[in-house]
Amino acid sequence: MKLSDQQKRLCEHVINVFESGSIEGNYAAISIYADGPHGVKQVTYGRSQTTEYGNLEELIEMYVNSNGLYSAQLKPYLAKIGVAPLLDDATFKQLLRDAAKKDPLMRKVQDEFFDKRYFQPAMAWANAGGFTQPLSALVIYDSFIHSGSIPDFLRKRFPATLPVKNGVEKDWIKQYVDTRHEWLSQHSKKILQGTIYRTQCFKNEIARDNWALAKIPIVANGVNVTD
Amino acid sequence: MLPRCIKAICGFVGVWFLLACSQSQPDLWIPENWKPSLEQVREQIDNLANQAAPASQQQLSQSSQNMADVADAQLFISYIQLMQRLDQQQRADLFKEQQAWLEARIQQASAAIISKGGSLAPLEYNDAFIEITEARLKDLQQRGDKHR
Repeated sequence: MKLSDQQKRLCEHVINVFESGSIEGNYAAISIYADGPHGVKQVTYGRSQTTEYGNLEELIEMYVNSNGLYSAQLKPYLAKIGVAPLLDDATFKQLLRDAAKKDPLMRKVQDEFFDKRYFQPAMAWANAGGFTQPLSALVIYDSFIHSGSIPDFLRKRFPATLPVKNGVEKDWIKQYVDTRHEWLSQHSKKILQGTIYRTQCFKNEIARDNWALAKIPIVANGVNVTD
Repeated sequence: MLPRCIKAICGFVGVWFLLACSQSQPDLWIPENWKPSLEQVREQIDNLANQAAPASQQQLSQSSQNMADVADAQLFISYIQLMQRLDQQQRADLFKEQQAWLEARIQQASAAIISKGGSLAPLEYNDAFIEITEARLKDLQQRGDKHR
């Protein structure tokens, strides 16, 4: 899968809109969710949201080692992340917000971190499957961000075979998007139905034959993404 | 590791239970006409999450967490209201029952996560958490009504 810089940027910006509502993404975003080990609440941070009991330590370590403006203040927290709960540590959360808002280095580190954690695994999956089109990259990357992978239970619901197994790439992507759209739009939980703007965006791009992501803007949840 | 809210509930109920054990008859700890309502808060969060203009994933996940927290607070209120209507043995039984139920809720909500590692996961967890909590809320409210 060979993407130009602009194609990759388009993919990232579309996903940023889906996730945060803004093209640039919200690098300072902090949420508290009860999705930690054994239902424990935890801090979730950054442009594509990494968790306290997941990979937040790795992200902060990368930042600390980069000698950013807030590296010295964040360094003592490396021993605590994932060990002691930090959701009520106002100083820690403010440092995370300040670093993202005031230090361009934190945004650069986050870009590198999320690229490694999500984009590269998604592209590795796409390459192994024999995909070559930029729109395929966007669909697969989105699935890794939203669902953590290409879920097996969805793959079993449509007949297309992977390009690497002599299938037709555009058929596979179209069927996967349709299947994912149907799953979300008919989900028993109403709030999950609210996420179909993602698959609707892909259906629109497939309908206008925008496989090279050359036709801009791409309308993502009502936002025009041009770059 | 137990969530802080569960620890707080257990701690509070534990202290309360010890105090209650020293009483021969269950006393009223909460005035009967004091009934904090969180219904409108829940409805407003629900409306925001389901508004016509679709929210971002972060907004949807935060709304679902807020709804889960409100449902849990409603359950806490109903649990305390029921507790004060029970005798000493019934209180001890309900405390144990609730401990086991809280553990089961974590297991069931965790099992509802399909999108492991994805941004959809908190939404899936919270939605299951809300459904399980609402069922328990209804149960405790019905039991509370019977003990009036």
